[in-house]
Amino acid sequence: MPTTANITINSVEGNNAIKVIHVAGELDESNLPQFESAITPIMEDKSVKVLIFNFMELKFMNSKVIGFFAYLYTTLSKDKRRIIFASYNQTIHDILALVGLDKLVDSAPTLDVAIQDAYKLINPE
Amino acid sequence: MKFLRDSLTKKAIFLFSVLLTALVVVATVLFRKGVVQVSLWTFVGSLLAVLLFILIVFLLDVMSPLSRVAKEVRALLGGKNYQRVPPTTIDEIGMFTHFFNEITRDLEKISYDVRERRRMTSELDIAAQIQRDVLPKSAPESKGLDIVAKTRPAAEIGGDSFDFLKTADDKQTILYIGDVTGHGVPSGIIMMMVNTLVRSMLSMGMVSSRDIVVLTNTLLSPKISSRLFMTLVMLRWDSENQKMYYTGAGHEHILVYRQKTEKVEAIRSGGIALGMIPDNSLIAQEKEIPLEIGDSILLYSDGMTEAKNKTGEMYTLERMVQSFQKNGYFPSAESIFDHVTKDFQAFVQEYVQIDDCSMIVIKYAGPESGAKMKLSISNEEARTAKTSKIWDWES
Repeated sequence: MPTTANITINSVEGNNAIKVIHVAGELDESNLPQFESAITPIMEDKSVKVLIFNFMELKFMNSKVIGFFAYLYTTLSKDKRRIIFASYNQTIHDILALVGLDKLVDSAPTLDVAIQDAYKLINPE
Repeated sequence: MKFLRDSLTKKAIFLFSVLLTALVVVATVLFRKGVVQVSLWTFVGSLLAVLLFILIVFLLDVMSPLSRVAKEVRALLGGKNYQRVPPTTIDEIGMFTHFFNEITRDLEKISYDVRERRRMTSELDIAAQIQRDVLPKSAPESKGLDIVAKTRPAAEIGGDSFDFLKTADDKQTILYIGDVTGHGVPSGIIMMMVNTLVRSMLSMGMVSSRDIVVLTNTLLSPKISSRLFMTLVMLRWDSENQKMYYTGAGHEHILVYRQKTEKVEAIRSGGIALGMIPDNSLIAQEKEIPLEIGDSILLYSDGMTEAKNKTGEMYTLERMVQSFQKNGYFPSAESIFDHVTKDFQAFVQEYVQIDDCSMIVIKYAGPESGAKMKLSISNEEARTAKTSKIWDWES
């Protein structure tokens, strides 16, 4: 049975430096190429400073997807750009915590908190 | 005259029309001159001239191009060198010539692809054998422990590994299970790099599982992309003091069956996967797993918990825990292993294995027991029939 995920990308109102990527469904190696091709243009756009991944409707992701996020984190960190994981459920939290990615990537309990954190990152006092 | 060039039939009709016209013209001229008889020789000569004309046209326009193509087709069918034929007409013969050229072009490409595939398969077979040789066939004696370990790669080369080693002072046994992201050649290469690094460190006198994990990460990280990380959990068995310790690097939970309570504890292995960050020294920690006689430990890779049955349902950690809890009381590691495997088989059935699967069961039998270890890596023949029958370590 093929794995499906729905990905939508928005800018935060009035601020192109913050992108919100809503991911719904499940992510694994079968749909990872499509996911990558959706994210890569944003990754390459240096004007985007913070990527917020809204995982509220994400049910599962496997280690290959984790590998892509680790790569994304490493690549963006070189330009002092950041990732925030928002609204993940217990399953996603367990997957991220198991591998240790939660120690690298910022997280927020809700999308609104993630957006506020993103503003603080791009406009530090 | 294009309408003639694209068809033999049109050419034949045209030729017939020309000859018929010539005959009518000659007959009319002779009739007007009052010639009502011609000599036999004149008639035969004229007929021969006409037939010769037809033959020349047939040879030049039909037989010559056809025989050129036929010669190359014979060479191709006979396995000899052949050449492509430049088409000189656009009629049916020209079409067959063009078809021959296209077919030979495709055959050459297919032949090249087949040769390349054979070469790569042969190299993969060699690489798979090297990897199998790297995985342990036997294990050092470890007083008090009864161990069964099996792995089954999803492809010719797997990313899962385990190993059992003695420290240089012979007082500790190091066991680990590791899982590189994905499977296949890139994962296999990293698995072997880690295997070599761990063995080297032990031979140089390192004892602490935490130090081994930290140094392995330090040496590995600069060499690999962050996409390709390796999760690992390393156990250190102090056979003198009969104590078990562990250091995690982002691996699956360590399941511990407690004989006294008949319950399973799922311990987070902790840490961060190897290769994710250059320095994990602040995160890696060695902790003790207190064990009593009869307790068991189960280590596994995510190929097991993420395995799906035909309805797309995942096996999950919960099922793994339930199975271990149900079967942890068995007296030997082998019987626990077999029963946990049976539960897994009953769920996945004819499972299309998409990730490497590995499992280790360790039974603490007490200091007076002799050490037993049973290790198994699925064989090459078994890998060819992954989807046709009920999943098993050996098939």
